[in-house]
Amino acid sequence: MSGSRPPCLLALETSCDETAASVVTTAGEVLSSEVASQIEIHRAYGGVVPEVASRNHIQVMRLVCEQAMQSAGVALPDISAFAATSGPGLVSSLLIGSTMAKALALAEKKPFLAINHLEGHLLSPFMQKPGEAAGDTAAPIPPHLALIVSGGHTMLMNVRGVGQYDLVGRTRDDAAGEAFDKVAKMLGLPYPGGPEIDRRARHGRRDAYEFPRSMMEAGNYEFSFSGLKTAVLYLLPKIDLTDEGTMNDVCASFQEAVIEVLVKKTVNAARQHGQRIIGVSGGVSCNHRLRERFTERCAKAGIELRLTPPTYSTDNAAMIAFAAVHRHLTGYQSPLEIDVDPNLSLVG
Amino acid sequence: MSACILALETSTPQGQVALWQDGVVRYAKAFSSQRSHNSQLFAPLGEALEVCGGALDLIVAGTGPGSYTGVRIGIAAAQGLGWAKGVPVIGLCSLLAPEVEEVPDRYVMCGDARRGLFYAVQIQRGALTVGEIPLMGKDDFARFQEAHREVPWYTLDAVSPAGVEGVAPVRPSAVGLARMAAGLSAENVAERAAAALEPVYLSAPFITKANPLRERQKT
Repeated sequence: MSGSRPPCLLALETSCDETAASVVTTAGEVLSSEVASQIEIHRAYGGVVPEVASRNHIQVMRLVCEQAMQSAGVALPDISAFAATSGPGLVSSLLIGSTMAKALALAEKKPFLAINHLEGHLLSPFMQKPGEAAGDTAAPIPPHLALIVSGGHTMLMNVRGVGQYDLVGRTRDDAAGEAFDKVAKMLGLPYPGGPEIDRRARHGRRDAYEFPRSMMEAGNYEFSFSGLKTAVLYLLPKIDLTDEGTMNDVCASFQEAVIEVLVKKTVNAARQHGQRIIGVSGGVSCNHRLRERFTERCAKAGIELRLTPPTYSTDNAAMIAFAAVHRHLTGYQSPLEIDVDPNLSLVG
Repeated sequence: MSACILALETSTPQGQVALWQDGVVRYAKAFSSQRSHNSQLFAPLGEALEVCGGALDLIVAGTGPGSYTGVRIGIAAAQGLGWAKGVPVIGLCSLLAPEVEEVPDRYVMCGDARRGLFYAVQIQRGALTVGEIPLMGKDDFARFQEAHREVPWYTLDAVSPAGVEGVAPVRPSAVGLARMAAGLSAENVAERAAAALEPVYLSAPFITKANPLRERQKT
C-alpha cells in the first residue's frame, strides 16, 4: 500500500440479494467495490427468496471481501475500521455481512461501524467519481433535500448534516421501484422489471394513456403508487400487449406518471425547506427519464442536482463504506454487541 | 493435530465458544439467545482470543444441523477470524459433539426436520455411519428407533422429536468440536479447510408459491 494514502475502511453489504464489499479511503475515494449479484438465481422465482439469498451470501462472502481487498491493493492491517449494513433488510442476509465485519474488527482490534443501508443511499450522491481528486478527508456533506427511491423505499429527507435527518415524506404503500417491478410483472416483462420498463419507455408515447398522479395537493410529501398500479391493471383487458407499440406506450405513460410525482414533490420539498441542493439516490435513480426530468426541473428552479452515479445506485458496499467514512470522521463506532435490525429506521 | 484450537457452536439457541490447547480446555463459555447469536457471540470470542494470545492454529465451526441462521453466524464469524489471523477454518457436524459426560462409542442423533419430517442418524467412533443425514416420516422414524434401541439416543432439539420416549435432549458442545478437531490429521484438516464451509442443509429452501385463488382474483 502507498505510504501517502489516507487510512481505509472495509465495508460489507448483505441486506438483500447482493453480496458486496468495498474499500474506501477516509478521503472518500473508492478503491474497490465488488458486488456478487444473485439476480440470475432469483429470476427463476420472480423475486428475492430470503433463504436462497442467505445460502449464497455465506458461500461467497469471504471471497468477495478478499477480492475487494486485492482490487484495492490493501491488506487487513491497512484497514482502520470495519463497517457493515445493519438494517433495514432481510435479517438472515444482514447477519452474514454484519457478523463477518464484526469478527474482522475483533481480530484486528479496530472499530466496527453498524451502518444504516438507507444512510448509504442517502449520502451516495456525494460520492466522488472515479479519478476525481480527493483531499485528506472526505468533503463534508452539505445540507440538502434527499430523495431515496428504490425497490424497497421511497422517501424524502431533509438532510441537515451527517446523522441529522428529518423525514419529509414517504410512500404509504408500494415503493416506486416496487411499483415498477409489479407493473412489469402484470405486463409479462422479465424480472427485474424496472430497467425493462425504462428501456421500452424510450420508444413509447408518454401521453398515450392517462394514469393518475396521487396526492398532488400542495404541501403533501407522501407518496402512493397503488392507485396507479390498479389503473394499469384495469387497462390491461382493453389493450393488446402483443403489439410492441402498445406495450411501449403503456411503459412510457406509466413511467411518466411515477416520475412526475417524484420530481414535483422533491423540488417542492426542497423549496419549502430552503434547500438549494437536491440529492437523488437508490436503484430507481438509474432510470433515464427520471435523471432527465430532474436535470430539467432543477436547472429551471436554480437548484443544484446531485445524482448518484449509476454504479452506486443499486445495492453496493461502496456507499456503505462512504457513509461509514463520514460517520467515522465524527468519532462514531458501534459495540460488537449490536444486533442487526431488519426494520432499522433512519430517523430517531 | 494438537496446538491451539478455537471452536464456535451456534447451531441451537444454546451457543458455546471454546479454546482447546494441547489437550486442555483453556476457555469455554456458553450463552443463550432466542433470536440470533450475533450480539452475544463476540464477548466470549474476545475473551477466548485474549486467552490464546497470538497462538491460534485452527478455527472450527459447528455446522449443525440446526438453525441455518445460527450456523451461518458461526461460520461468518469463523471465516472473519480465520482470515484475519491467517489460520485455517473448518466445519464439523454438530451431531458429532453432544455435550454428555462421556460420548459413547455408538449413539443415535435425531431431530425434527420440520414439515412432518425427522432425521435420525447413527454415529460410530466419531463419524456418521451414512454420507447424508436421512429424512423420514413419523412411521419410519419410529421404525428406525425400534431397530436401534440398543444405543443411546440424543437430540439437539429442546424436546424429544415427535414426542418419542428414550431420547435425551443435549446441547451441542464447542469443547467437543475442538477435541474432535484436535484428533484430525494435518492432511484431514487441510482437506476440510479447502472445502466450502456451509451449514448442514437437511432440505432445499422452502419456497412458497402465490395462492392461485388470489392470483385469479387479481386478473
